[in-house]
Amino acid sequence: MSFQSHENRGLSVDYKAAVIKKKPYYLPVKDEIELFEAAAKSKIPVLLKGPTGCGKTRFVEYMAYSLLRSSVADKHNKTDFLQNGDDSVKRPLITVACHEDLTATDLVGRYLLKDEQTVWIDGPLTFAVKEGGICYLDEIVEARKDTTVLIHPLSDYRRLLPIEKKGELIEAHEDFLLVISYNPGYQSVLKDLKHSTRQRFLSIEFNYPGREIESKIIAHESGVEEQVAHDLAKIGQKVRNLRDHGIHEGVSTRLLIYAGQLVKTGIEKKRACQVAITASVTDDQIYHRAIEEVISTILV
Amino acid sequence: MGRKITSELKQNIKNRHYREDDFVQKASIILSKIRHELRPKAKEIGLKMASFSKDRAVACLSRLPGLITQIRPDHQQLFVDNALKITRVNWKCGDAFIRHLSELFERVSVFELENWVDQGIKIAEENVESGIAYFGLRSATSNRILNKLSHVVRLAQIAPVLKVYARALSGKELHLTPLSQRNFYAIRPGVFSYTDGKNLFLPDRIFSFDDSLYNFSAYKAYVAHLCGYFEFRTRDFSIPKIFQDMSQIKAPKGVECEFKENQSCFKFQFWTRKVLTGDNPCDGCETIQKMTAETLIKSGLSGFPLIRGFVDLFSDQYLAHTLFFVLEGGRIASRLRSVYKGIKADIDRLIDINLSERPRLSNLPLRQAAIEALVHLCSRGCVEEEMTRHYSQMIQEIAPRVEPILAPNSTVEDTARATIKLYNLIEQIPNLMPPAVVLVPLPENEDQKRQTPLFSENREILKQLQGAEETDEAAEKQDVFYYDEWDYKIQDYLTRWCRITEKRVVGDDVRFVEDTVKKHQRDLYLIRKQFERIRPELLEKRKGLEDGEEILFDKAIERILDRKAGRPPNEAIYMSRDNKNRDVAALFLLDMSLSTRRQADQSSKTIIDIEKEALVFMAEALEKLKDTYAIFGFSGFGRKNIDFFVIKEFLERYSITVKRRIGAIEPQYNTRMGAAIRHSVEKLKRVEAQTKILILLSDGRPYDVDYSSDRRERSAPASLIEQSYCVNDTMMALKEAGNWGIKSLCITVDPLGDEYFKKICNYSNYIIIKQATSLPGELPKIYQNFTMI
Repeated sequence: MSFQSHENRGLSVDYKAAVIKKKPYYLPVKDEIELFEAAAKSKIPVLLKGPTGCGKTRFVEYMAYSLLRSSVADKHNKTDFLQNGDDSVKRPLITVACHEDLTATDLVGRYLLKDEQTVWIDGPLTFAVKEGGICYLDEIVEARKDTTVLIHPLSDYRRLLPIEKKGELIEAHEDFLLVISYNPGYQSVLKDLKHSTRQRFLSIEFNYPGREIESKIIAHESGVEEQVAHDLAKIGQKVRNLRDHGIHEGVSTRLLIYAGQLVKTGIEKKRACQVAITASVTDDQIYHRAIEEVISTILV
Repeated sequence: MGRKITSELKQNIKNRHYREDDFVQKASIILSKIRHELRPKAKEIGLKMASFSKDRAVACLSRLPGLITQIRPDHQQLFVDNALKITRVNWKCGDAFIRHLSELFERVSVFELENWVDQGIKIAEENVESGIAYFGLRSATSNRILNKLSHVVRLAQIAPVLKVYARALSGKELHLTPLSQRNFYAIRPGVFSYTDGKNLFLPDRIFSFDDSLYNFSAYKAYVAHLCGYFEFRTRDFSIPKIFQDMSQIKAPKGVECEFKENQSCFKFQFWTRKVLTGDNPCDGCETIQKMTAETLIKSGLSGFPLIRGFVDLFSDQYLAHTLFFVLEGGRIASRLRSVYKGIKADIDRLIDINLSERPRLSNLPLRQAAIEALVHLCSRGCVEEEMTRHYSQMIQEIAPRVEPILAPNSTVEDTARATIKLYNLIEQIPNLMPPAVVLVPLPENEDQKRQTPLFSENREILKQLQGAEETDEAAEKQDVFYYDEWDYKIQDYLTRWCRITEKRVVGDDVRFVEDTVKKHQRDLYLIRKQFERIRPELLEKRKGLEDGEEILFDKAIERILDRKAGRPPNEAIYMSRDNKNRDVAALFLLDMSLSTRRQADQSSKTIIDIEKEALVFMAEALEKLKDTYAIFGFSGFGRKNIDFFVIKEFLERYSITVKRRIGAIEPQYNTRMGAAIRHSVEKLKRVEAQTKILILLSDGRPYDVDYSSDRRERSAPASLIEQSYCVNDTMMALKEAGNWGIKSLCITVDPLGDEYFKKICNYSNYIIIKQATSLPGELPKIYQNFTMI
């Protein structure tokens, strides 16, 4: 389901693995589901903005699952599909975790040598464009600038993907949807999304959920008791007050879930928070100590 | 006895011509105040010192009786033994030790002191100067050892952690201010500390417990409690809300009509005052509920000064203020206990220790006893049995009024309602004594003297609690930092020696930058182009890889040919473009000393103007290169008054504001480089970059009023540079930067810079610009070469 570009080299996309079969757990915070559905219907590419670990990827998985089911239900017999979970319907989610060495070739495809012949292998983006489905470019600002320019004709009214090396121009499948994500506060002011890219997408902003919703998420995902989940959410909220005041990123919901999972396995609560939260968000000794004091203020 | 001591002293005084009788007389009197068994050693201390300086000996001896009384009798001998041990090594060390004993006793016990003394003696035997600094509590080693031994927790030590802790809990940038820095003495209402909305006022040190962890926890409890004022919305005080459901307080007849006709704040205030203070009988009145919030807002009372206004309504504002903050402190503590389970024990421990230090009810007049009972009820939820026995009726009256504020979801309006109810009750209690809260301002000027004691400070606190921090945005932003300084003579750091105040340069004129850009348009164009050319180098082609973006056709053909020929083929036929990251963070530190006011070379420009121009050149160039950079300036007058001027922070854009700040740079005072470098290093440590650079722009050698061991140091010849205090400290500060992986480069326009910079840093780390006017053009080139990958 998920592709690291370097792992993908020389491999064709496993379509079946890219279809989400089990409904992901997702609690809506605002109107993001309605917005995404509307964007998908209008074939408008979507940009998800938000801090790390706030649920962007989970949201896309959830939407891929629910859009697949709704589009199939429209086309086929709804009851049959819901009962049988028809995997043959082509609406996969293809995730590419972008990094600073991700090239246009990694996304589009490449020629490989095979038995003294050159063989073209589609990259994940080309695959999604041809076959239909959601192509999710995670942390797009990490990718090289030439990569982001590549998606420009694909993300406006043309919906075209040029494959320079083959001299081809592919029109996107009817069910193709491009989704990108980025974290505006990530790393440094030097890394930012170009306006020419940004202004081709409908932007849905994410943030960490409120304490009540977050504690429900933690309780569900980690299986801890409600009170523990509530305390962890409270720790999350307090540590996030330090964001941009010595700590680049607030503690993510994902880390809070990890802490919950450790507690569930029997690790002592403060120790679990120490390894899952404190050590993960900072190396600065002062902040380290201060966060530990916050944790010991909240947990008994 | 006195005669015997005198004769013994006389025998031991060798230097008879120097005020012998005077010393003997004074020493005899002092020694007679010391316990008999301690006297011989105390006398030996005195004599040892007297052989060098009788004045110092008398001064030192005169401290002993008082100091000895501070020590438990069974520990006194040990103390005198230690003092003598030190004095035998060197009398100045002994003198320094005795002079700082009061401070030492606050930090460690006599037993703990012994270890510290032994280590100090070893140091003093090797280097007397180091020993004096050690026993005078100036050296870092001395303080480090003491900190290890001590159970006392000082605010200064833990302030960085507590500040972050306060930020996390409150979500606000709050300053931790020692109570001693306030210009008034306060007997705090209740058992907690207080905040003015910007500062959390905390004790300078806590040593209530024998365990330093408990003392730290007490600080933590104080901070958590003060942050509670923000979290539990003390600031969201609403007068209309108070009167909801307060049907028992009734307005006099006709007030409602009068209010409608005369919709003025004064009328309402006047009327409310009457109601609250009971000056006017309320029989048959309309209920205050009819005064809805809506009516109040419409009538222009929305800007009613919240808590201050509330306290103003009472005739006895001392009492109202005390009641309000005792109750509110109790409410916050109660809510903290239920919301933050982890800190419950710390809060209870703090309350217990603080209550134990409060006066006993039986010693107090009736009204004050009632307030004291209220303090107990609010902070602990109950009173001691003894209190109930003596004041059962009074406590029965108070307790039900306190209950609502201790409920889990209590609000500040509950506190206000309880204040009104208790005010009416307690005000009637006879035997009026001085109020529980006494705020005594230390008169600073005539205006302050004219203000009434309570309101000068109290109004300020309340005003700020009501959100003055938002309205005070224009105020100059200042932060204070302390740094150690290297004393080459003792070969150790002097702890917390320099006080740096961070100030934001305020400027309103962008013309300097605009004029510079306009004047040097062509030079800037060339520099920008030069910097732009560096960027394309950032992608590097790597050929002959086994995996990559593109196939190299020559290599691919070679591979096919090899296979055809039966040779093992070379699989490295790919090419890739790799990012060659330029991840540089540069900090420019500008010497803003008074000497930069002088004119440069034959030019009409001053050094500071040239430095400013250089900054403009650099900023314009760096905007193209996209390196992260910051600009700061420094100057100062003495170790406690070092100013660190913020011109551009790392995350700030090169905006009009920054340009204005560059334009506003002006020469200030002296050049205390070490502290400024250390503060810059702290700034750079917080930036994430592969390469971190500190570039110091100066026009002369480091100098400050107390930045030398010798007054003549400033004009010392080159041969004496090695022994220069400030040069050694600057050298050490740059070494510290190097230890943190920060590369430093010193650029000076002082033609004699070679004399001292060769001591301060390596040849490769300093550049002398012989013609100052060429600095602007040279700086970008120097930077480019220095940061070349």
